[in-house]
Amino acid sequence: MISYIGYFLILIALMNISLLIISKPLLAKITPSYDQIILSTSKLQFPIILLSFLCLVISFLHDDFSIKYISSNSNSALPYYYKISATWAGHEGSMLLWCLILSFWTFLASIYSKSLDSDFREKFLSIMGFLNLGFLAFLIFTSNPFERNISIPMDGKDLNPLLQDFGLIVHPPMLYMGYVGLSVVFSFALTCCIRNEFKPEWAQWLRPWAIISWCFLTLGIALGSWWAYYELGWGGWWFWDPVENASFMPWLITTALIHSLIICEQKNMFKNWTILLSIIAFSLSILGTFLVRSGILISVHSFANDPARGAFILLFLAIVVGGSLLIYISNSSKMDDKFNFKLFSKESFFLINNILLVTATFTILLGTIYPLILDLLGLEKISVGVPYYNSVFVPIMIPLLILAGYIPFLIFSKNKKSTGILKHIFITFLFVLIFAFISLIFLDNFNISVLIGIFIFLWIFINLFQYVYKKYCEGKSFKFIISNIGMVLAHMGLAVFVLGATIVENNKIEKELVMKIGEKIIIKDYSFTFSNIIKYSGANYKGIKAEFLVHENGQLINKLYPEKRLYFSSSMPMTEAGIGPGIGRDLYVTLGNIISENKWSVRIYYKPLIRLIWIGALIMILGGVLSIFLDRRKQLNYKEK
Amino acid sequence: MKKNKIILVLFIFINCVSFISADENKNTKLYHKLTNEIRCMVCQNQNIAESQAPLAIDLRNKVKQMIEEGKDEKYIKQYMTDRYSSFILYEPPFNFQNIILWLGPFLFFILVTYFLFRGNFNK
Repeated sequence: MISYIGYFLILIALMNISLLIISKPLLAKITPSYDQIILSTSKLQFPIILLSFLCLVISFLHDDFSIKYISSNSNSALPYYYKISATWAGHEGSMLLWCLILSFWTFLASIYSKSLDSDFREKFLSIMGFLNLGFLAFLIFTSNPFERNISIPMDGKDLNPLLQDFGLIVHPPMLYMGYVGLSVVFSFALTCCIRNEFKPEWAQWLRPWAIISWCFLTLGIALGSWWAYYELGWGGWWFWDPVENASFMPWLITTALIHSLIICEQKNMFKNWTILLSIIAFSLSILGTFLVRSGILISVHSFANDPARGAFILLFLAIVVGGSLLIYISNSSKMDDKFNFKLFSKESFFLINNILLVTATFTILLGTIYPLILDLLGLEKISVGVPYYNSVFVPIMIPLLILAGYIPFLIFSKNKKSTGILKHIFITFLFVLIFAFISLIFLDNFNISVLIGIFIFLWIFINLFQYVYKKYCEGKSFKFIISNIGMVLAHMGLAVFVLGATIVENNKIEKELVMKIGEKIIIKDYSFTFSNIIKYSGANYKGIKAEFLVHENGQLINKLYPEKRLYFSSSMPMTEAGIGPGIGRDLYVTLGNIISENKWSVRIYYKPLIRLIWIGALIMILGGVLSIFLDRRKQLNYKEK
Repeated sequence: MKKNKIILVLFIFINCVSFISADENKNTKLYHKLTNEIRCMVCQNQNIAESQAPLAIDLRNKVKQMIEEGKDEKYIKQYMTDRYSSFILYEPPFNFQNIILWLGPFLFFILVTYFLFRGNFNK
């Protein structure tokens, strides 16, 4: 019964949003309060889809196996929290989540767009409505989550064991919030393009939306990486998997967008470029969906494949990307967009930042789709992985990271002569380099990439500190310094991430060995004793746990329990790593196969500073959130004056 | 003069660093490098160092054995591509077919730079 209501509700949502789209030609002539209709339909969309989503959640909790989606993604023995998260574990449910989030952003956009003029608001919300319509049609016609089984099974197949985890509960919603948040940016930019103008106050309005989407993307990517680290059992945090790439590309473009919006707002330049970036950012989100959902990728993520879905998304992608680019090309020349700046200026450096970020994105795009293109053409199949990105992507990022350290400082020293700045750069450079060399003493394995990593970390940190200190000396008010804290934190987060990533990749120790119960092995300063094997059973699986005692300087510091689980629903055993976390290092043990009685193959990893990767991401997010909050306050002050 | 001295010092530093890191445990390093760059052909998208599939275990042992026999990186990679095509290596070969993949980013960089900076300074 509830499932019928749920289905009925998404049909209503489809009609509601169609009304918004068709009302323009039909109703605008009849009723003067036409914009009120647009406003109320876009606000109504969210509660309707939310109710429909709740219907699906309730059906999951009631084990309603008459619904196909539930019978293939849930099981009566599944704990209730996984039943809830199973709502978005498969393709159909995650598309419903996508539509829900899209309607949520539409709702927010209709509330916070009061300051825009009514014509602009109308066009803006109509474009949002069009996107809603496209995804809802996709949901209803190709992936209906409420589709019924012809015969009702006794029990459901289980949720994929890999996905029975806290990481899965939070990773997709956060990532989708980011992906879909970019739809606001996209619609806004397209409206500007249609109107042939992009006022500085519009850039100011748009920037918080770009930053909040960026924060969600950062969080989603970081959670995904953390989940892969502890769940997949190989201790890696990034693999350049096509699906990871699909989320990383919009992130890079949004990063570029956040920077170019500053120039838009302050100097009234880069308007066309910013609009183009906004269009590309959202297009890459849809491209990511296409790559993941169509099943043309070989990836750990491609769990739901159907050619019809692929065709639909490809068509939608063609309409959205092709349509918006056509509008852009035909209108961009009419925009009053003057580029006028010196080579050694803020604008110029922001442009270099943008070029590097866009090139980095292009590299990833090429690496992701090139094998697919070769496959389509019937040429030799290739794999593009870590070695390719290390030799192409990393060299693009190094100058970008060096810029990240200097830019904030440069911007505000515009009154100084350029020779003074050069001298300053040179002294800081030497200072940082010497420090980087000194810090190498503390590492037992170092090479040129470690040196570069440490150098970049120190470079960004020291320059940011100098920046804050200088502002303080110049007698700027405390308020001014606080209002820049978001930017400072975001860049520091980046530095922390770079440090963690370089150190863990160059100084990790990985041992793969066969151990008997009672055997001991020493890695770095830690001794690992394989003390016991315990059999036990969980709610929907049987498991084997190994116990490892970890001693440091003769003292017991950790007991690690790597596991192997056999879920009733699947024939593949799952591994759960035993992790001893720490800021300085992680100790990571996984249990392999049994070799003979009491003998097991195990892997023991020592991962220095790996936590900094996610801590860095969290600092970046904090920076983003703070800068939205403080920007808002600045805007309010501005208005009061 | 001063600058030259600094560059000389830097040069020596960098050479020392690369020299020290070169000798340490070559075989283990090569093993880790290769198992991380060889794809497990039966898995979704995993290298043989990560995968627990039987094929991956076989290939790991094969790599280990060849390293112990004193074969170099190039030989082992060639051995793998001869049997499984270049799909097995995560590093695509630099050949005519993949020229866009390898040079595309640099061309793109030059093009974007040209279009964005074109004629913006002299106005």
